[in-house]
Amino acid sequence: MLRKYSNSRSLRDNIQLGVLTAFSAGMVNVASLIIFFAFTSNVTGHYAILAEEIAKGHWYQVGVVFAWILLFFMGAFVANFIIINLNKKNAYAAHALPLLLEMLCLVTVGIYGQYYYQETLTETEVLVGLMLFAMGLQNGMTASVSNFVVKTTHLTGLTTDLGILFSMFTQKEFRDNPTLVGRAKLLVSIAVSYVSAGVLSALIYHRLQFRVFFVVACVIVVIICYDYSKLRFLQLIKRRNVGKALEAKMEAIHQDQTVGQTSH
Amino acid sequence: MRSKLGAYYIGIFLAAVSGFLLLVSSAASPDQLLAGTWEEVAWEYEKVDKSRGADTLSSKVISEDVKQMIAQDLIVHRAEKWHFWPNGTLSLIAEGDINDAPRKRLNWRLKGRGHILLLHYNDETEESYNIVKLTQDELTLHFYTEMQARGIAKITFKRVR
Repeated sequence: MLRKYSNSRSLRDNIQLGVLTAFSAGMVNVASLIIFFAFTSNVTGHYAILAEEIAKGHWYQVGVVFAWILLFFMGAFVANFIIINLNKKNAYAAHALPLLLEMLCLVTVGIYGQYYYQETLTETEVLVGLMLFAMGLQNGMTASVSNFVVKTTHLTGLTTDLGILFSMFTQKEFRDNPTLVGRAKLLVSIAVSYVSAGVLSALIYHRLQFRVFFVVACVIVVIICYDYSKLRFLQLIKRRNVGKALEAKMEAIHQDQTVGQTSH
Repeated sequence: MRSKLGAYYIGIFLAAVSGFLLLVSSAASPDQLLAGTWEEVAWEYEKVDKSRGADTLSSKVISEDVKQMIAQDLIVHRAEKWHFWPNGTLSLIAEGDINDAPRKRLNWRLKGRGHILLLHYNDETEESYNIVKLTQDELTLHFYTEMQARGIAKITFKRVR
């Protein structure tokens, strides 16, 4: 899910990555909406609000919303910066590091919110900013890893693409195109995962409060560990195969030597 | 070349951070603006029955009876003056209260970018209001109601100095 890069990724890789990251984005967005009355997994609305606040001359709010947009941008920047600089050395680490940073941000929000949050406006603005940075990291990572195929924190583009795809499916030639069908499966999976996570977040928030962010962190741990375990498993198999091949080779050499000694 | 590019990136980043600091320090934050005493000026509502007359602002002004009906389930019921203390306490003072002694004390918090006013009463009841306008002299709140005033009800305040 995280090891493969760009065009070497299969549909299955993209669906796994898309579903899990959309799940975390859906949970974060709904939780932040309930707690802070602010969206944190998308910035389209924030651009509209920025324009509105500029028009009204509310310069404090302009500064805050501008900082939020900047933090989302910085998240995507940092994620891709890590990937393009580390990818050749260690592809898995390059893709896992942005997720680790995201997890760190969300756990910080969870701990601070649960134990220290006094509900001041400044705290709210900073925590919303931290979540936007985390979502920028996630979106930057998924988009970069999947060659811009998977984007999971906002559904505007996804809904547009689905509309286009389903209109294409009215013609048989497109219905029979496995690439288009695969794309539709990916987008539907992301949408369903995002909405389900949002519903779950709203349902469990009243019981868990800020601890809902720990659940999201667990989802990210699953993404990181799943790939790590798969990587270790593949390495183990590779090592065993190499070991078996070496044993076979040694056996062959030993037999050759035995045959040589007998003939002499 | 690489260091020049790095300098450009750092320059743009610092300019963005400076712009942010300039913006937030040049204007009062919503919680600073809100602190103080506000007096209700008018209760209005978004929609009126067509049969009631023209859709003018004057026809939208809620009568005292209707206001009491709308507000009977609200925390702010029968308040005339709202005093927002910087420590997050809100004192509701009604007309006729002796020496402006508060009739009710609750907690206020701002959410979002300072556009949502949350009121907590006894840690049980919670109400949210949209802050539509907040200046040194004027405060306008919107809230949803299902009463006769269909749609959004609007409370306008002026600051008491």
